[in-house]
Amino acid sequence: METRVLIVDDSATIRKVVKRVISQAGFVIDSFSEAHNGRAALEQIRQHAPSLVVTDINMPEMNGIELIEELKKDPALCDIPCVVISTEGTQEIIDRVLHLGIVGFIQKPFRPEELAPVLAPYIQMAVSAGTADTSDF
Amino acid sequence: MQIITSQLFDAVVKAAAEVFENMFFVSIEAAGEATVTAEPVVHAQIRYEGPHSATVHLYLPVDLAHRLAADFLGEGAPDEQLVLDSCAEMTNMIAGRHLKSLSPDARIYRLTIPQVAIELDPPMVPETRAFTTGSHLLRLALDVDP
Repeated sequence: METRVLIVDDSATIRKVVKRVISQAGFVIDSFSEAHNGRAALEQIRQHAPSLVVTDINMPEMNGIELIEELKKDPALCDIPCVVISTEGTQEIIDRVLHLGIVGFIQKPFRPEELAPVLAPYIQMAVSAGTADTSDF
Repeated sequence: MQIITSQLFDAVVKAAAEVFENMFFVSIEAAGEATVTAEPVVHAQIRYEGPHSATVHLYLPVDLAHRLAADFLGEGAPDEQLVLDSCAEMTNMIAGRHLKSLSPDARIYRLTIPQVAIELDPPMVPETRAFTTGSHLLRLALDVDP
């Protein structure tokens, strides 16, 4: 089963850093895709569901919370694990996204080399799950 | 209001110092009065709205912006668009950390999308302070709504 990671952030810098960190962490990732906001991510996901979504919250058009809400209310997509990486670190925001069913929350700022061990269990989870590949939907 | 603005600015400076340290392994040191330079700078800004509203401005010399972006990205020479994007993200993180430090009620603040551009002689807001990192001079400003 193909393992795909979708990185959603309006910052090309963060998308690039997250991709590099995951690539160098030793996991077998078949492909990465990127989206600059929740709406673009949702379109991609509906075309080809990834194994793991790593998303920011504060983005134009559709933010990360709205994206996760859309995924969770879609029976075909609700099992895709989501990790949030965001500056929005208030407990209320963290509680809100955890309540939505995300598997992890990482607060910015972060040192790139510190990201890999934090992301590792979530990537492993996605890989081990045999990937929730719903590309036929 | 002056005292409040000063306290807010201290909090922004603390947030900026943490972001520079955590992301880029560099420390910033206060360098007194900010003066306008003739050099072009990367000017990144982000506005937040809530019980008080303000805009955080960050002015970086272009060569410093390139160096910080390269270090963070792990690339030798990122293109200019990526450098600008890195500075925008830096400002986003400073504002986010600042809002979190204000109080648990920081949840009622709304952070907007950062703006960034290379500018020659951008106008300075009254509350602007200068800092050094290595041989570079950078400026940080907090423009609080009246």
